[in-house]
Amino acid sequence: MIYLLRALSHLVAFVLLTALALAGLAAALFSIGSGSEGLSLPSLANLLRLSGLEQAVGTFLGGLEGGSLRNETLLFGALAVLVSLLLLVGVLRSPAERTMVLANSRAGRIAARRRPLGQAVAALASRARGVAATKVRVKPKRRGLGGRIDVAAMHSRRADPKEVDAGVTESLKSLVDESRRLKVRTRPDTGGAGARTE
Amino acid sequence: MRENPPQAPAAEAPPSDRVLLARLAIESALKVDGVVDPHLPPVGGHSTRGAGVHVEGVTVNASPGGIYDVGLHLVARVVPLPALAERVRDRVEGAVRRAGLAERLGPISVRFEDLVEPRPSPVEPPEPASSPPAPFPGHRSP
Repeated sequence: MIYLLRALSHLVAFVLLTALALAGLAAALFSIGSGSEGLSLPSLANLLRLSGLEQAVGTFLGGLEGGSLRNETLLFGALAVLVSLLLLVGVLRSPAERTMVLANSRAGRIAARRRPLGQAVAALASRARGVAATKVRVKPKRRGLGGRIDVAAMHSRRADPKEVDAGVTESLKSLVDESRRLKVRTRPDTGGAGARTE
Repeated sequence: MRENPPQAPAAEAPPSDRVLLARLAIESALKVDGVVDPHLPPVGGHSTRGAGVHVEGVTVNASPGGIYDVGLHLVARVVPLPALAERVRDRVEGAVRRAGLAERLGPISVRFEDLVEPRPSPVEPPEPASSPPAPFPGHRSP
């Protein structure tokens, strides 16, 4: 549910920002000229029929003040408030952090939070010989056990990638050994042309 | 573990099985080598309240059949986590059995909320005894 609300709020934000940008562009374009013809603001107002809109809104607000509006208006107003609240929830509330489930049985579940697990993997991998820096991505499965840990180990051009790979794999054994559902993928990386390692 | 005494003098009633299980579970878990601390989230939670006490780092929830599910929220060292969790479970089950509450104990879930660097080797200068093990740089428990 929270994912749906987040997606919806992102979509609404995108649409509204695009509309705002287009409105700003139109206002800027129609500010070039003057008078009531061509690229002028009165001309833009005429194009958008703002006078008619003002009249319609005025009538509506007058009815709202006088209490002569029908029940449908009240219903739509309440719905608008509800939708706004849901969008606010979608924007403000972050989904629960996914955890890496290492085991799940009748005896209970063993899990670890994603971020500290990634930090621990990075710290261990960076201790391997020849590794200058690491980039770790922990990807728990959406449902079920285990997941994948991708480790990119940056090393100098002089270091042997195979040795770096073996060193990183060995250093991670102390953390994720015995987890059959957990796959660790290491990737030695020199960082490409122009990259520097310290 | 932190136990907050009640504000007012508590009734003389003994703690419930739920609170006893929570105490036993977290005390046993903290004795296992590799477990550093119970996890204390900044906004609360991960705790069991009852009988005027507040046991943090463990949640104990009643399940059908008169048993209690135990959830441990721990800060651990960088060690093989499944093996550590099994040791924690064994220790908790042993303590609960000795306390005569084995029939009330349900599944024990272990969640590692944070991992800290291993103890410094003897070659390195030791840290002050009062300071807790430092978390990884940049980590902040949400």
